[in-house]
Amino acid sequence: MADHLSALELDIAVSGGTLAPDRTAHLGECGDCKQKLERERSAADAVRSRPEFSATLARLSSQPSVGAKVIPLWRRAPVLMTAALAAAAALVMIINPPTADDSRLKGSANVELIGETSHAVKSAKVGERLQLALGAAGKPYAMVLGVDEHGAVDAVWPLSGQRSGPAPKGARTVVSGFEVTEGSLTLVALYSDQPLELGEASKTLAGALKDGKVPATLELPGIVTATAHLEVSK
Amino acid sequence: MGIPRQELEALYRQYAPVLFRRARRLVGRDAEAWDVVQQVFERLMTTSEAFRREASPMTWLWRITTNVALNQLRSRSLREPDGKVADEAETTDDGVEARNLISVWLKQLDEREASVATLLYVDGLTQEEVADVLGLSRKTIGREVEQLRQKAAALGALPKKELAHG
Repeated sequence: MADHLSALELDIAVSGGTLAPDRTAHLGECGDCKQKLERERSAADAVRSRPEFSATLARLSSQPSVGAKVIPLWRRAPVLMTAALAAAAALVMIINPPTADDSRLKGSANVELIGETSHAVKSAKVGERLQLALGAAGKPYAMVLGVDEHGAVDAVWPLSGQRSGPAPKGARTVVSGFEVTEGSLTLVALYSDQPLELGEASKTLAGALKDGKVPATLELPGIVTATAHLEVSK
Repeated sequence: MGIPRQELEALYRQYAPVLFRRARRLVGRDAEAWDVVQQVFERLMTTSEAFRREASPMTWLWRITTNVALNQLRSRSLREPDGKVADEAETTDDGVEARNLISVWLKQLDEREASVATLLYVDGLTQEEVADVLGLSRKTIGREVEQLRQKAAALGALPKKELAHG
């Protein structure tokens, strides 16, 4: 059997990154490494619940360089960024439509794009600044993919790594901000009990599209989904 | 240069827990480990464009964490020349041995050698991983490791298990 996962590889796995294929294969068959990874994940969760975790983040967030510049959320999706301007009619929230008062049931899976007024938006202009908010319905892992007008699927969140990231707690938690670029898109949030691999998740979603669009009812095995569409105009 | 608050928070939630645990292993004190985490993220915030282009964010973060943690220990040795490793919160045999070794390396080796020794002997990385973390060629690391081993052995600063493999 190959060498056990190193401390670096364990850290990569715990934080949602992707290991080399042979190392992933080793992890799949090595009970010791699986146990170690679970222990490390629990330890990481314990660190997140410590008061110093929040205090350090608060100190970092208060620094002047924070919030000074908005980076496109779908920086890893050049196709989306360069896509032709969309003029098609808006197709709004597909799953989990807002209730009358625009609030959501606590615990329901949710993905939203939030505008300046703190309300979910369905359309936006190029250059507008929006926030991505998630509600993971109690699932521990989250990944958000974007489907562009041509049916191309690409990663949106987490901002780095090749796997699902730790899902935020709460029914509507902002996880990232971005500046709207050209091209409408549909966001698909995938909430799961185990982290998803980006490649596999993208392939699965691409296979579930109908005529290049996200179907009104999206069912992926073992995954709770939520979808939101953003119509972008000039 | 700047970073949106939401992006900072997402990256922090994703990476800070593992970085804290690694920093804690190196510096041995909770408060100083949180200082290391804060400094690593401050570095990330000022070089966020470069960080986004990193093919392997974790190796970048390990590099910065190693540098910051070793600097922290250097400062501590000046601040507390008589500070004892045994006074630290974590007193497992491995932890104490690791920090005693690092203390010697920081005094007797240059910065790069101390980083390589830490990644190799304390973290237990392979030479390939050490090269990736430090952004050096594998050939370079391969050459340096044997010299480093001899140097550390002469200082009596090799871990027990390494001596056993001798």
